[in-house]
Amino acid sequence: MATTGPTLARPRLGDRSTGVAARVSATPWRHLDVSLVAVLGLLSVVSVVMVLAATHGPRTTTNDTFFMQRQAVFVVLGFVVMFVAAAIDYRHWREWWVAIYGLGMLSLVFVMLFGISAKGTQRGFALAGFQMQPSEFMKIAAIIGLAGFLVGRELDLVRTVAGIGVIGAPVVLILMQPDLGTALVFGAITLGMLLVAGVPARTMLGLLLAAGLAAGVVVTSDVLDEYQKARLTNFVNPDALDRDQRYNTEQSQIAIASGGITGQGLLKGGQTSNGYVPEQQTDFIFTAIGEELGFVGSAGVLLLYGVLLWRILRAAQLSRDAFGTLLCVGVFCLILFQLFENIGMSLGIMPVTGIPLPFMSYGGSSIIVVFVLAGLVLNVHMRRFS
Amino acid sequence: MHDSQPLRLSILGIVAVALFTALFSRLWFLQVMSAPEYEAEAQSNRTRSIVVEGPRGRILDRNGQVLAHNRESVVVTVDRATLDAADDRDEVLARLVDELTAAEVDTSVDAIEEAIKNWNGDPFRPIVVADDVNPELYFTLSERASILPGVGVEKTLVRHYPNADLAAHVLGYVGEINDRELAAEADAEKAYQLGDRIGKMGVEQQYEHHLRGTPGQITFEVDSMNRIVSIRSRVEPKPGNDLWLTIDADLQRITEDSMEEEMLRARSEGDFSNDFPITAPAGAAVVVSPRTGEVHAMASYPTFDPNELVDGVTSLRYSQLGVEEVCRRDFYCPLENKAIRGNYPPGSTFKIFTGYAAATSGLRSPGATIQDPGSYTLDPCTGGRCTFYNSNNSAHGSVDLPLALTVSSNVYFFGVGEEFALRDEIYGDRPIQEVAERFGIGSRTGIPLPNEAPGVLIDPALKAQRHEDNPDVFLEGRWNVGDTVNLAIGQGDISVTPAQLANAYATMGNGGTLRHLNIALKVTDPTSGEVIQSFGPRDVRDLELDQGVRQVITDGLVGVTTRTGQHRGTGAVVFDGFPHAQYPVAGKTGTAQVTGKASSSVFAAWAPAQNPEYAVSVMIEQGGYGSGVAAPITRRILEPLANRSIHGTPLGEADLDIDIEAGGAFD
Repeated sequence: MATTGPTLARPRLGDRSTGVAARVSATPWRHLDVSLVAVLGLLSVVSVVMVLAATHGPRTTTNDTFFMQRQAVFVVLGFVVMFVAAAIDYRHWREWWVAIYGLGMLSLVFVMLFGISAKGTQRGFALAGFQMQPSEFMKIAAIIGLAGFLVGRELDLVRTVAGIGVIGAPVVLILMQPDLGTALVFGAITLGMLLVAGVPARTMLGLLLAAGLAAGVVVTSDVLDEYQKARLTNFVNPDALDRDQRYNTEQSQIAIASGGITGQGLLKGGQTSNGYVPEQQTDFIFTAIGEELGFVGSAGVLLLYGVLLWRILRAAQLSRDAFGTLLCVGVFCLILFQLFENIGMSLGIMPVTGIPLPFMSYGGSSIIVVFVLAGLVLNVHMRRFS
Repeated sequence: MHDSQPLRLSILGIVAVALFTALFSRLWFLQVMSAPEYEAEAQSNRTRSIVVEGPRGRILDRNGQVLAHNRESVVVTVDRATLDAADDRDEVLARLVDELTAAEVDTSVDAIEEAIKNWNGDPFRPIVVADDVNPELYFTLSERASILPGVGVEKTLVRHYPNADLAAHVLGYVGEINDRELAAEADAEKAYQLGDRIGKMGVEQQYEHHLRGTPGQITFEVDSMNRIVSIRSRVEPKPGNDLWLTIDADLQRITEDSMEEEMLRARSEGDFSNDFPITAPAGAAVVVSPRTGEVHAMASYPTFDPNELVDGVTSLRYSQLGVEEVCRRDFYCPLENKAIRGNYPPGSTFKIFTGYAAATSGLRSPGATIQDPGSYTLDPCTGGRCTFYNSNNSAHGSVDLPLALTVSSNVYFFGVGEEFALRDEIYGDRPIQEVAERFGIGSRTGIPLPNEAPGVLIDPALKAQRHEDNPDVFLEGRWNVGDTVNLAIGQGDISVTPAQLANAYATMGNGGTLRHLNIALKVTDPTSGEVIQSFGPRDVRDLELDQGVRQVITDGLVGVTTRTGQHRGTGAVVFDGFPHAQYPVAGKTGTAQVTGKASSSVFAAWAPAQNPEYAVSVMIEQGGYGSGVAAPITRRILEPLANRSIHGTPLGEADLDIDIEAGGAFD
């Protein structure tokens, strides 16, 4: 495996004379995807502001800026870990994938045994005052693990099924929490990575068919609880939802629609500031954007995500090796799926699941994780020549 | 790397573009195409409104004395949403109970929890947990608002009757609207909702639409927990109109006090009437103006304090006050306005109509005399009773119409009755009834008060009808000669209300114009005082009386209160010392027999005898002779009026200490 070396970097005139400057200029950092970092910066600003919008209100009991301040801390931390993740050459990670994957699995088992119970599910444990969600960190481990497993092998049916097994193990644990939404994210990642890894078209079609069949069986059988089924099918059958769930989707659509073209103005959304939309700073944060910033703001945010995805796909294309490509594809699929599911849920065209909007929803674990993933993409992108 | 990787990556790109297209379309649909309709939904989602009742108009007497107004009351309320959101809900309630107990409010945490649980009014109105508390609490609780989240103190308006039971039956009272009333008022201009107050009786009920304030409305924005965030709009309520009554509060007080005084006296004397003790438990008195039909005083006994009903009474107390089945036997239904609901036989007060019928039909001229030996036997007697007596069987000797009225000779009128009955081919089968009917007997006076009774003017057709409808109660349907004989002296199945009797006497007194009675004088704007509506006299008919006969009757009635000597008037002892010269009273005693009880004591009069200012009727159940209770009450009412007319003494300063010798006559 190649390591980062000054000889491989394109030297700049006059840089060699001064030691430190020469070394920095010779590092892959000079190939950093600045546009991606800029997009993330913009999204982070929107995130912090919208977390404030979603949590502030005339009758809020806690300090109005409590969530905003914490989100700002998370975002700053996110940028730090992103650069850290970008700094360590991703090719090392290919060798460590078993260890990383094992660590992720261990933490999932740990949360099963000792986790905090919240709203009937066991998803996290507390660490230094912050609630950790291992299923979020497992996303990193799964992407690295699957990329490591798939790369450089002939993908016959057995290997393909084995690859699915790599993801299947954590998915079972996550389903036991139970956290259906996160489990679905893993499914999306798997499909995308298998596709790009070169699974034959016929196998791919078979997989899609099998996934469709499985979904049908799951929805009609007793594997899922009634509330999970109802949430999954609400966008085609809203009457099956109980009153609270229907209330959520109705209120979120009312909020977004009442934003109109230009929005009601920051911190002036009637639905938002009066707490009509539940879980607004986390799962339903897009409703705050919709109501207060209107179509212009929402479409702008969607465009930022479009640029972000384009930069990730570009990094996947430019990668020097298949491992890097697969890492980027994993990240791409994760962000695309979470984004579509989350915003689609707020718009009433996707089932209600508790999936955060990447780089936007309030929450330490999810923010840190997506920034680490963004760091991986930057990592692959800036080492495309080395 | 494999060859198809670029293709496969572009598949991902295409998927992404497709998904983004879906999101954009949906976003466009919601925010651009459906925004207006969702915005409307959002508005109704977030706004609530409460209706605030307007202050109720005052009720005043004819001179502007306040009979009903609104009193400020401090109530303690709890806002459920705020209380439930408090971290230390239980401690808040405990502190509140401490504060209330310190202010001598009898309550407990359980009682407050109960009040909160049982609240079924508007969820945005704070729940009243203590009513009408010490006004000091307004300040103490306001100061401690920070440690009592959700607890509020408000000043509200409560209907108040400053003179307690004065004119209670005329005024009525207000209470919370019930489902039936709510349904009936569904189209009311000033809309009602549950929890609103509405007039339940008397003029409070009759003039509800004038008195009721116009409700205001506060629209505010609420958050998802139904807590108020901001006020959107506010329409201030408007006070209702002031209602001026024809009642003269001073005269009303005199009337009520006179009744009570004489009834208590009669009760304490322990006399008997027809072997039954005189208990004088109930009755009514009405004073009207023969010139306008205005009611100047209307009293019913036993009475009640409407404030008690406004503040709320137990259901037991309420049934004793006014639920027919319960109150009838032992409590004489205090809520019943006996002046317009009481059905009493008029007794001898009815003789003026019999006499008028006899004199004007040509049956017996007013000057013709008959011999009154004390009893009268029908000849021939074809059924029913055959022999009838004077009260106490006293013989009056030779009597004409005026003297027959003065001494209340039954024999004179028995004869009239028999002759009418025997010669029905000439006079018809209801000669007396036709006259009485024209004076308004048997029909409502049209007084604007709820539930007026029409009385019963019995005649052959009605007797037959009643028997046919209800043979178990009305055993006989055939009209006997004795029925006419009985009717001639106001006994038997005839009954009148005190208001009706007063109005009939007013009609005779004023020369023959029957009017509907009025209780309201005018309605005025509460702020400007401008008259919005005034209620003038409402003539029913001019009876075109034979003024000669009327004069004879008047003379006979003046004799009742003034004539002394051998043919002493039945009210002369009672009216001894009355300023007859300046203010002559034309009056008539009546003693109406009631099966199984002491007789009803009745007196009806107008004064002065010529061009009268007032007509009065007093009817006291189980009161014995008319001269025993009803006549003394009438004198106590008329004497201050006479003194005002003679000396200009205002009623409010009248000397009520009048020395009266009750009784002195067997009628």
